[in-house]
Amino acid sequence: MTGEKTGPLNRLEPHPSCGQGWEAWMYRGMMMAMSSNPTLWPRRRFLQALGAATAAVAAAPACSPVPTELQPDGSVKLQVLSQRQYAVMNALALTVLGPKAAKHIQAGAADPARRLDQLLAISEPHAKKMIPVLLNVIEFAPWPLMPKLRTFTHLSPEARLRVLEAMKVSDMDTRQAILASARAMVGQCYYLYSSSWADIRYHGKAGEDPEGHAYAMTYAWDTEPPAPPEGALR
Amino acid sequence: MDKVFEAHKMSGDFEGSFDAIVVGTGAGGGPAATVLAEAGLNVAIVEKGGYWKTEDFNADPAENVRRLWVNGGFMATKKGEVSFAMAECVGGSTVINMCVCWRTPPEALDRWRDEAGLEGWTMESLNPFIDRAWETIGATQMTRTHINRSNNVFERGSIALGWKYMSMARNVRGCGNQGLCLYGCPIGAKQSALVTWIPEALRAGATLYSGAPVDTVIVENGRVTGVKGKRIDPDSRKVAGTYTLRAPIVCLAGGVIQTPAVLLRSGLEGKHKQAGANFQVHGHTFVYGVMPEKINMQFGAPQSVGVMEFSDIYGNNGPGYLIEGLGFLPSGFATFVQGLGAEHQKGMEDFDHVAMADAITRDRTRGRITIEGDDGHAVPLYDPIASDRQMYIDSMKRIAECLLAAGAKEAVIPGCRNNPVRSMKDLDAAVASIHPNTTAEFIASAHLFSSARMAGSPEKGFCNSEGESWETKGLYVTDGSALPSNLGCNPQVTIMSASLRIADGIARSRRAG
Repeated sequence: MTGEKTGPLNRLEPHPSCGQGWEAWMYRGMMMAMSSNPTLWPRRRFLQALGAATAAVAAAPACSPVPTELQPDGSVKLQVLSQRQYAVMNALALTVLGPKAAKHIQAGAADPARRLDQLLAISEPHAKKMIPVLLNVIEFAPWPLMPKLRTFTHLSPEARLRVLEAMKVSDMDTRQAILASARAMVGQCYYLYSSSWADIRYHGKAGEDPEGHAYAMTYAWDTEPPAPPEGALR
Repeated sequence: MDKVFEAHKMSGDFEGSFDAIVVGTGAGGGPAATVLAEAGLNVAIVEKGGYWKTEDFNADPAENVRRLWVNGGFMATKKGEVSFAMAECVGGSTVINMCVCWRTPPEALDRWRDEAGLEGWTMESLNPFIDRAWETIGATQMTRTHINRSNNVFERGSIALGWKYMSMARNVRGCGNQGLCLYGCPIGAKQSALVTWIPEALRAGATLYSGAPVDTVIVENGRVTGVKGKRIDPDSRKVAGTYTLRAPIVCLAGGVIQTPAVLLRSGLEGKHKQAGANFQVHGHTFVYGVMPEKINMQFGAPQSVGVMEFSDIYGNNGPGYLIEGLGFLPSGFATFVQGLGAEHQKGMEDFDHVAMADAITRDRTRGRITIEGDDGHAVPLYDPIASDRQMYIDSMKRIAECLLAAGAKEAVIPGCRNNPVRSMKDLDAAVASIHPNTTAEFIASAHLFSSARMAGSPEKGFCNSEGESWETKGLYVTDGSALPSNLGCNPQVTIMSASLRIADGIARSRRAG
């Protein structure tokens, strides 16, 4: 599903991204995807038409309930995300983060989708609206925006990974932006959980890992670095 | 006795009268409030966020992100070109920054004069204020005691490549090398506005209202007379009511995005539409390398070593970016990791061997802050020009080069199709695979400037050289919004110094009657 280069998609610039971000970045791709830039309108109209054509294929699973295994447990009271948006975030986390993380999430030791909901609950209206839109796009958008015809949550785990892998090597900048946002979002939300840390040899704050702390600060350099240039210091 | 109020706990829609109101408690608000209170004015300081104390920062990082960061970290330009790291809490972004301090570069003052027509802002006139800021926040050049292995990698790389590097100054007293600067210092070592300027202002008699975002400035007959705002619970962000404060002097220091938003909501865009105009950032690009040895970048001063080779300040003639070593906790690092599934897991498993840096690029792009919606929320617009996009790519290449020269097994560059990069000979091809537009998707910024800037004429900026609005008497801007352009280095000392200088001018003119 990669390298679509016919028809209106020719207008898309090549976009060989791999996707990155940092603490605040998860928001970005969604903003790109939802951009109101008028120059994107021809592409949008094309996508809308194509979307309508594939709607029939997508309609059945879209109307079906979210798979039980992706839903929050009964104790989770969602504040911003819908049950389906929660499930999309959950499916993304299970797919993006690898088998060890998936095991922790499925065992209930970490819940990145709930973490996202908690952060959105204290966000300003703009972010509160747009991030659920990103999750809806991932769930419902069919080919060519997303390289799939079914809802994301109804795909098998292997198929979800294939979808994201196809986005990773796609030349479509919108796909790249969606993937970069999704990856950064699940990464940040998951690795804020202490249950995730043992798998990556992070043992907590300085007081919790005195040996690691001492190691980081001790190395075979006994000279001080040069001073900043004239005028930069007092 | 301190006069400190959590606005959401106050009953009714309260009102109050003061000599001056300072909106914001960070690098731009704290110093102004201190100077005005010391001058004998009855000062109200209003802050949107909560009054979290040092002891509150012992919570886990997730809770601190929720409490301290704007939108819990989700903040970006309208079209996603740039994401922002900002705080909303007493102390502002000084509570979550990485402490790096630079005195104002002389080149910046030259640009302010040449580009904005700002006269009178010379090194000689600014130095006393820089000195006071430097002293108050305890800025000190870092020694080996605080330089961690991640930053040391960039010393090694610079030496191998013959690049100029140095240890930077940080505003800490008794730093325990915990590496938690982004989440609020749990031992109070970071000399943020929370533990310096705000306590000084309170000691001088100022009154602090937290959880009190300002909606609008009140203007009557061309003169500012106060502010109106909401009372919110800083924990849940739920609105508890409203408030009105009156004063003939209002200093806006709510940050480079919120300050112009207040002006625009108040109908004070100005005849020349300068409120929100000229918005500028430093782009931050990030690259990491996997080292053969363990690094543990999460400990120590997150940023202590700087590479000046490509800078265009302090007499350097580079293209305009400053590389600074970096350390992150896993949640921050995770947002950079490439790959999906098992590949992503492998990337995270490298965590303890990772060294990182970012480059602060002195962008030439100008954007704009606008408002949208019934609530008039701020929306930043910023579309980097081609030369800035190219500078982002160049800066990432240089960081990767430094990592490889220091012995990194591989370097990972955002937007690069050929990640990871394992040798210098692969670097050019790797960088050539980055599309400039792709790179723009991954530019962050914690350094914002100029959205209500000082200038030599109302056509060029919102404020005059005293920081006062050209059109509204008594209305001042004292945060990074007032600076005419970006700097090329971390801005907190310059913002504090400008705030001190503007407030000093207000106090002098008041004394003069």
